[in-house]
Amino acid sequence: MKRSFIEAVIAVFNRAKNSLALLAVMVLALLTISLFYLFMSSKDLIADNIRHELLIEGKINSLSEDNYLAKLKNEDIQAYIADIQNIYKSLDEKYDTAYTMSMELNAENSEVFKLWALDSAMNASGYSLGESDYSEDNLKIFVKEGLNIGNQELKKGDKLSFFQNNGERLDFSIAGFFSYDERYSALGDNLYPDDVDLFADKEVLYAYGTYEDNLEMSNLYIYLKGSDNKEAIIKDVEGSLAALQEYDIEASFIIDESHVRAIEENIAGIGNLYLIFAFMMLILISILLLAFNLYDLRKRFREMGIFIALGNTKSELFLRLVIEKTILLLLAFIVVIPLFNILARQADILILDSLSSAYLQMQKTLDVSIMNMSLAGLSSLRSTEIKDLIFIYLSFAFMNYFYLALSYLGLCRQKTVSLLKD
Amino acid sequence: MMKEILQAFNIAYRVNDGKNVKVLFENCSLSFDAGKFYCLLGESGSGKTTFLHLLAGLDKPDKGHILYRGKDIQEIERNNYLRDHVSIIFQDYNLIPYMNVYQNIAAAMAIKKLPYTKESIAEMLKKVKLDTDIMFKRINLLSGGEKQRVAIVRALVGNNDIILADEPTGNLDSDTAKEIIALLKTAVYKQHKTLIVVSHSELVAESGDVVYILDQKIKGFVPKS
Repeated sequence: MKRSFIEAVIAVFNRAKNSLALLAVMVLALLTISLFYLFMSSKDLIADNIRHELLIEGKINSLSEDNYLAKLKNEDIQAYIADIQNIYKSLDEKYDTAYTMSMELNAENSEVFKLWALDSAMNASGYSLGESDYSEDNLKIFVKEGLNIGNQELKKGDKLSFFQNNGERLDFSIAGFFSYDERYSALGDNLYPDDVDLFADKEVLYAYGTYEDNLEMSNLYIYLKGSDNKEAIIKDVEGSLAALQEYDIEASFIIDESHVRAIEENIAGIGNLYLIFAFMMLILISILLLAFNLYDLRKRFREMGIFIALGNTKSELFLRLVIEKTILLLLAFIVVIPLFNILARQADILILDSLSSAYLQMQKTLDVSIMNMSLAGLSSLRSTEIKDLIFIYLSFAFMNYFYLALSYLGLCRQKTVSLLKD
Repeated sequence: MMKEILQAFNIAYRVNDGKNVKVLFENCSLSFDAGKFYCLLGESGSGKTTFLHLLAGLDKPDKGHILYRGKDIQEIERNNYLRDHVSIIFQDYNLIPYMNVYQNIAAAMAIKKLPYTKESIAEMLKKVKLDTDIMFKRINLLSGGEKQRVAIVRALVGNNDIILADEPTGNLDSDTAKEIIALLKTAVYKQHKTLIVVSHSELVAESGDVVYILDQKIKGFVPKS
């Protein structure tokens, strides 16, 4: 075994050109298979994300969902705009005091990420990102206490990844958690008629806003139910928001099944193209690998004949070839893993671009904002996906060994004399 | 103790090139004693190399038997026979091209399960008048004479008592050819090995203890008169 290993190492490194060529074919094959898998799994992952969002949003907005869906089907844009206006009117009726407070944005501090505040949005997902032009270094985020992503409770120091509309991925570290008094609620820009009911039991509503006339300043709007305890509430809100003054909190929006289906169809369309391409590549790669195995061993008939003439058994020779193949496979895996990581990121962006176009199209058609889905997590594969990839890579290795065995059967059919004449 | 170390008994062998069937050997028998230098002469294409391959067990006769110390080599595991009893020196050296000199010899020693060191291999190279500087040279950088010497070193490692050599001087100039023959003879007599050389070279024939000629009429070997 030791001798076979040493000779296999010599063969791999001394036959550098052949080894490199075989390695290149293997790397190409593995990348194709990995990307094929990525497209397959990303389709499911995106759909899962959408359903996850819908589930939580649906719960939060259970009061408004039916009406909202009906509205979308009617596509009565004018009525919709009127409804929006009614929301604010309703707010004015229900909340008798509006208080505006200016806050300085700490835009220069690259360590701090500014979020737009909307706690229902944070409950819903907390990982969409509509804006761009964020600093890329050392980004931190505060999230609402108890926020779960994928049924997993977030902890301080956990990473959250976001994609911006420009496809750029940003990684945030959770700096801390915030919680609101149950009587308070943040108010977002994108409200739907029945959302007001959500706030029925809230005593304080507040919202941030930044206006073009002064981008450096953010206004805090506070709506109060009754004015008896105005000063105490303002103080309380200011206090609870003090820690958040340096942060923006991202807003998220209501989505519904029709959106999900539209997005899924869009993804399926994109995915199918990739799948067809990847499937064809797989067949080609498979043929190429078999051909390369046959060709490589055919070129080594004489060498095999010499080893037999020196007293090697055919099984010893096969063992050496298996070890050679194993070394090359290991090298291929070492090359493929970082390469695939880079390619996966690019693929994320590719899909995201397509999705962004789809969102824009839908926003135009439906005149509603649709949450930007985060594809983060595709390139940083989840543990289940890593398990799948390990299985795929092992299958690939098995395929290589199978092709080697097939090629070797061809060698075994030859007379030793014929091998030496080759 | 049996005098004959190797015997070819009633060998028949035909070659089919797809169009014609050519009979190379018919009832061909030949015996080889231990510790002697045999030379098998014959014209090109007459079947000398094929006969050597039959003796080495690399090919099988259509009829007849090759006996090693009285035992049919078909009954001995081929790899055991090649590993422990017979060494072959090929006309075109058949060294592993991607290995260097050291690795070629070390590979053969490893197959024979013999211990080796760089020093021991360097010593072997010196014995065939090879500079130890070439030890880590790739085979394709060696001259024909150097390659043949390396092939001889590889054939001489271990305790194989039969050395089969196919035109060992075929690609060499006459001075180098003489040196190679001298080297082989030394090995044969010092180590009491049996050397069977097929050649068409008179120089080789002159050196042999026993010389046979392949007679194409009788499809077998006859002693050179």
